[in-house]
Amino acid sequence: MDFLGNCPQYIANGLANGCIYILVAMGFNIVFNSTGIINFAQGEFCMFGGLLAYTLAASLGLPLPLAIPLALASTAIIGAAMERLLVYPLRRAGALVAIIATIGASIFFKSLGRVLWPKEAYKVPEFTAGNISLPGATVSRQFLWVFGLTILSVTAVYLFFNHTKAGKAMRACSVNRFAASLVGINVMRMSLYSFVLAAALGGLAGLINAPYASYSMGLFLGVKGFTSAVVGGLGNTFGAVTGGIVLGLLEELIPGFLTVVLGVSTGYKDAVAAILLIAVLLLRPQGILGRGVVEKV
Amino acid sequence: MSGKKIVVAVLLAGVLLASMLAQMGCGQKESGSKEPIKIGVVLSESGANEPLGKPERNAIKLFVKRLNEAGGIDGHEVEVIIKDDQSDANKAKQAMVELLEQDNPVAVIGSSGTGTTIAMKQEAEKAGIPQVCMAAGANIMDGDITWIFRTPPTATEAGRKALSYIAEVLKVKRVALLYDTNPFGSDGKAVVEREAPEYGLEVVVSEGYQTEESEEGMDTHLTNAMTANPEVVLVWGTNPGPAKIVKRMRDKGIKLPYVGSHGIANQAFIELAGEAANGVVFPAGKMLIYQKIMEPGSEEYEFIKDFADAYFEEYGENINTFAGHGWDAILIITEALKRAGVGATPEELRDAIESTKGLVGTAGVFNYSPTDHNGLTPDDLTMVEIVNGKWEPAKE
Amino acid sequence: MIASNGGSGKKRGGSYGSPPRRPDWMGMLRRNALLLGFTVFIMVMPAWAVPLSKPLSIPIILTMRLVGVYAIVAVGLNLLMGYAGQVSLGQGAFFGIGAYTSALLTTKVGFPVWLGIPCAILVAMLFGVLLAPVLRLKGHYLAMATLAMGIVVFVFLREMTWLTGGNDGVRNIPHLSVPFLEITSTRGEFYYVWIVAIIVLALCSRLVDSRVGRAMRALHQSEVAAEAMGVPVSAVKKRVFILSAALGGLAGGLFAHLQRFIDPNQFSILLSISLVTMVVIGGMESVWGSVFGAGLITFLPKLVEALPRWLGEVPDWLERYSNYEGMILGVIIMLTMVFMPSGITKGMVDLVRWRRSSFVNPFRRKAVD
Repeated sequence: MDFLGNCPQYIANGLANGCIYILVAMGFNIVFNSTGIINFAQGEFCMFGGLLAYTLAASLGLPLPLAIPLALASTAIIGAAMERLLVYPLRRAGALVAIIATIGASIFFKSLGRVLWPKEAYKVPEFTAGNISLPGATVSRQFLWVFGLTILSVTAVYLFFNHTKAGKAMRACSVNRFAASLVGINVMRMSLYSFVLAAALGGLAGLINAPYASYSMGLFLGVKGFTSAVVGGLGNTFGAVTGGIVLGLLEELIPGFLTVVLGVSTGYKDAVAAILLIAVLLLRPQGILGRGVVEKV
Repeated sequence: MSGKKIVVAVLLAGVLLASMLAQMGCGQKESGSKEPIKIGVVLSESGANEPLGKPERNAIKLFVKRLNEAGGIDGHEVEVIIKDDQSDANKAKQAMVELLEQDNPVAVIGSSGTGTTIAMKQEAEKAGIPQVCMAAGANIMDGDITWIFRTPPTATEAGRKALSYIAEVLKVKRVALLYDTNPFGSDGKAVVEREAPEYGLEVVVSEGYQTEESEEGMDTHLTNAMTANPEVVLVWGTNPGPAKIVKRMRDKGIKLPYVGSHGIANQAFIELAGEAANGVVFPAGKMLIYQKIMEPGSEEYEFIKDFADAYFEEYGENINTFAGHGWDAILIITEALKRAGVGATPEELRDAIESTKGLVGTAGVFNYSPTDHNGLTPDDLTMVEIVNGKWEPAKE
Repeated sequence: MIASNGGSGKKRGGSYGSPPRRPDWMGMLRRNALLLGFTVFIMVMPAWAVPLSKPLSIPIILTMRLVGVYAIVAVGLNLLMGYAGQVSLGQGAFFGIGAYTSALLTTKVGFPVWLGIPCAILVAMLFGVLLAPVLRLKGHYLAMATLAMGIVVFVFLREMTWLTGGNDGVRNIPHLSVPFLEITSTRGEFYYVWIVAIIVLALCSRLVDSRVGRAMRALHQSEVAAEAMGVPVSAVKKRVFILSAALGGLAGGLFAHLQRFIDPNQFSILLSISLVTMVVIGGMESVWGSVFGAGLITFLPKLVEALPRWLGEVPDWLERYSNYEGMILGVIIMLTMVFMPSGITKGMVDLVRWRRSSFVNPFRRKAVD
């Protein structure tokens, strides 16, 4: 069975992509929890992360341990600016207005990225080059970084939400923003924090998704990240983890199965995420791990 | 009621302002000694075909600048009106009709991609105006070819060149094809699948990929392809997809030969793929390595050198094949105009282009005829190998 | 479908809603002043726009044809989004389905165009019926489900090469036509598109003032309240969704015969997003706002492109207008949302009222939910 023989490799690839999706999905979740907004510009934070890392490390020649925090910090500042200039003024607006506004932001960011980084792709330096041969699969060393940093980020986000005051306040906002403000939580500051955190996570996803980054990567990662968030249950950190891994694995296993077993071309791979998203929304809108948060109509 | 009055007033003011602008516009047009010759250009400066459209635009602008500095054609300046179709056939059609209705160009150049070119071609046929395209799609020349000409070698020529290299130099049979699902890649896929049997080759697997996918995503496509036990990997796409694939292939220790398409005939591929680019072979115009395969002093050599030097001086970049296609397109039109004379009818200009013989361009020597609007032969292509990050002629 | 829908809405309104009365011609004229005025404006447009196009470097009539097409689909989307409050980021899918239906029927089967376009409407409606279950979702979830729907349709248009030709597209699509007459001139296409568009606009403005329209707005405010008042909420939502799909199909059909070459890339999710932008910038809950939005979004690139030609010599970096198009559009969207969340048209009207009576402050308007 060729397909089974290939499976370790598919799984390794799926996990690597899944990790990136997890980071993007957590960004969606954090913003959604504290503001109730789906930030369509989340994918563009990944673009900024990747391309700023390129500029700092490859063009300006900074060492990586310096360039990466700088790139993340700059992305976080972009996120903060977006929150203050766009989301804050819209704090009383409805869901639709907020969606459109963030779409506007994503169009703006993408176009800005195109002006600043006009080439079709840039090579972001890898943390460590080379690769590792496992039985049945070859993974790049970068994969270990991706894996490690994702675990680190998930743990950090989990601890932040469960064991710090700010994190608990943000969770309170996600339950009921009005009630949260009544008990003295500064809801608007939580909104700012959430954008900073989401932008930094998105930036991290963009730059460890190395070695290639381009201005057009935002939409691609945004859709995948959102799908992961919804599949696991919007707003749930472990949901994002589950969703990211499920999507990552399905995206590699389904085309693998189609090509190797059925002999069908895999141009349909692009539709896997979208179909999964529709299926989950229709069959289990609260997500695989969700507990019925969505009201039924 | 008065709300409506305001609307009426605003409308009136708008019309007045517009007519004033119109007057100004007319006033500007009167100046100048001789009526300029207008050539319309539609290019994909953004979107999927951006890597093609940008150098094409640069080359066309530079050519016209030099031509006008040298006195234009019979003292008439040449004016190019450049529009961006954003790699969207709908916008290309719109841009084409705009050019025809607004500017009355003598001829049009465009576009960079296949779909956009076909959209323009239909309008060129309807209006009866010569069109010179820079797209390689084999299907552009399907149907009526009265008005359309082409400067690059077709995808069919490039595909055949690559396949003959695989069959005759590599002497292997089983081909794994990985193609971009965008129009460039799917066009190449159609050509390769159609032509492969003629060279005794078997396409054992065709995998479509998306150029935005991560390296791991590409790894899956490679893994799928490897399952079919190919002897060579053929990748048809534009950057950065092919670079991700070759890098992953070498990382995985797959030693199979990698043959690319003319879509990677640019420096960006070498930069993106790094070390892994070495050993990659692809079909390209001879221009890419002219210093290595042409005699200094020959007409072709001097022509390309002149172009390369001027281009480098203007933009600080080396030439690539796409810049060459733009240069050839404007060259062919202006040369035909010189022969047909300024003020030639579209039919006369088309006949003049059709009678182009032995015109040295960047992509080769152009010979058009009423039945052949492609102008080049497969011999104008060559196989290029990347050795130590430099282009070298591949052994044939 | 559209005709019967609008008609039945009116009939019901007449028989149940208001007491019977004699025809009030002046009243009718006054109520429809905007529609009549707009019709006259469109009919005389070529007279002044054609001579102006060249000096302005903006092909007005040529662009207006597309505005008409986008206005039709945007009005349909506005019924769904603005009036019924159901976000759809996948309207481009119906547009694409309509375009492909009419294009394939006319080129491969040999249907005449005037038959192909009604088929486009029917097929788009059929897909509307099939996809209607997504309406169970709300808010963000509905937005993302429809976005995903758009992606799926795009991928299938691209990959089903045996039917759609894949990336090679469908070419040599016949021109628009009525029986025995093919319309090939730009002006003819302009009138063709706008006559259809004005009929759609008229029907839609009737619809929103009818019983169905009131039901739509009621369920937008509160579904529970609407249900309690006897509005069959999910049936109304479904009907509006199918109507908007039908209008998408109609616009798509017209589009295919205007452009005469279609490929999947023209119907990517970027199209859906720009359609939503048209509706939102023009103004939610406003049929005429969508027309304005369609016009603004379609003319904006032409303006940006024409600017350098008005100014004469410009530096090279400025000439690459397409680089900045997204930035300009993005800023317009964000500013509109922050300062005039009910759209530019409504915002402007409110601004005028506010200047006069300080009661209505457009900047403080509560946003549409």
